[in-house]
Amino acid sequence: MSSEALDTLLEQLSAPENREPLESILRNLPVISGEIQELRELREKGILQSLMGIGYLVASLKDVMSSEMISGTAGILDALLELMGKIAKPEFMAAINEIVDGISSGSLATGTKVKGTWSLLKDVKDPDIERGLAILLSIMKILGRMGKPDTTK
Amino acid sequence: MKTIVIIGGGSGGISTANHLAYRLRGSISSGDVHILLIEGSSRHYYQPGFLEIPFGVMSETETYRDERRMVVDGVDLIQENATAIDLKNHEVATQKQKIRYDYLVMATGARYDFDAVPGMGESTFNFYSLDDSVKLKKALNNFKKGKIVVGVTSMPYKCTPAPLEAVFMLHDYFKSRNMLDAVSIEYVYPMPMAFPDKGVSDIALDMFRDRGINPSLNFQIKSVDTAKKELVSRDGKRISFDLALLVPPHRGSKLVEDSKIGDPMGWIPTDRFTLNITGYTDAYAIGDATNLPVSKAGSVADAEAIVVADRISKQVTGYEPDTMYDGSGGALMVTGLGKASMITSSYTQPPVFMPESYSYYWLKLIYNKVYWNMTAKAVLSGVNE
Repeated sequence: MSSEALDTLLEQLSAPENREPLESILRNLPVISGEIQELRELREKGILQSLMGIGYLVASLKDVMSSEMISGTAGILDALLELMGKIAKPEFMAAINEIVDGISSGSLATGTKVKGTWSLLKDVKDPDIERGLAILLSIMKILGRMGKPDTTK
Repeated sequence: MKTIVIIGGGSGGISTANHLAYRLRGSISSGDVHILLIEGSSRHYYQPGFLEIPFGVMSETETYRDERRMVVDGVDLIQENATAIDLKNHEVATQKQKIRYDYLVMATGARYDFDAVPGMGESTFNFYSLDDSVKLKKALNNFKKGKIVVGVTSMPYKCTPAPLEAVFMLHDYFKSRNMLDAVSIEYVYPMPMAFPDKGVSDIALDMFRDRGINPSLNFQIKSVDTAKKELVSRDGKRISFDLALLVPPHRGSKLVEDSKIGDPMGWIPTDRFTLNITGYTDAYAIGDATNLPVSKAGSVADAEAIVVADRISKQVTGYEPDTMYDGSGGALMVTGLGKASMITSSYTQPPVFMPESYSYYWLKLIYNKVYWNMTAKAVLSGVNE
């Protein structure tokens, strides 16, 4: 090291605000050495590059996303959670599974024989079918309401 | 059939009821277990939102939902107020009926004792109810210049970082209106620190210095001189204000006091690990209602709710209840309009204050929206059970 560089270093170290951080670094050399080793591993495995990419992405998001946009996205997440809560009920899942299994195995098509109009009317008297039809009609009512043309535009 | 009664449909009560309904789904279907939630209010409030209303972060209607909407299948909501509890005889009375229980959860929260500080009710503002937050919003909107004091009247109070959050949001609110030259902010706290933990207090005081906020510590508010617009301390000191925003004194619920199951302040003596009401293995207390040395916060109530739901579901199904509460709790603490930190703690870990960042603020904004299904209804737990 040149004497000029050494003089600069000594001058810098004469200030307590410079000396104290350096003393702290020297005290923590084993910790810093360990951290450097971990950083080296992260870089060699390409993870550091990925982390930096994520960092840039989040930093960019900060500029793009307004508070309203974050709240709006979170509102959609809440609505999805509410829907999930309804769908994830055991009885609902059992019904969905029964329908899906019945269609794929063909048992739904063969379970009930439809032999003309009178047979159909007889089937309608089945309480389960009666309820199912009521549900279907109610769903159609909701769909119809949703599909109503907007006459205000 | 076993009857589980939960009194109080706030954050802790509703979470307990819903977690129990998920865990005991089979027993409820077979008629072996009946879960009753007693709550007189038709609304479930997201109370952290009250602090955000004055600053326009949340709207009034975003802070509540119909209580019925928050209850999952398997929980019967009784919309009556509980009027008496008899722990020895396993009985709860409401305005209309008496209900016998096998297991009881007290989630009766805290109430505000404005009368304990003369003058406070007439001349100061607060953010501890929807109405009060709306009033504060109007007052801030019309505030042109002068001194705003944010003060805490006594310990304990709900959400320990809330007054700090209020100070930081006030600073940014007036900064965004280019009014910092006309407005000064003072923080008044009853302890010699700005927060019950010294580490967090030191960080807060540094943040005060950066923002030009004046702290007045060790100031125990005795009364408010409404004519002079001054806070008066127990030792006769005075702090003037143009607008005061005070955290009211807190007590346990009237139900607890009337039923004589609380300490002199109305907090329920509670085992810090099992959460049993002292002397009763079939009765529990959670959330703000307890006398535990933890923050009176929603995160604590929810953590306790999960423990209690687990313990009761084991007791009901004949297993030894072994889940213990470790004192854990956390809060996303807003440090300005656009920045936040997170504080976590437990019985064995002193509060840790994470460096403030916009990412925590994002998390806060997200949590404000997903609280209903994420925490109160705990939908993901329901899917899992």
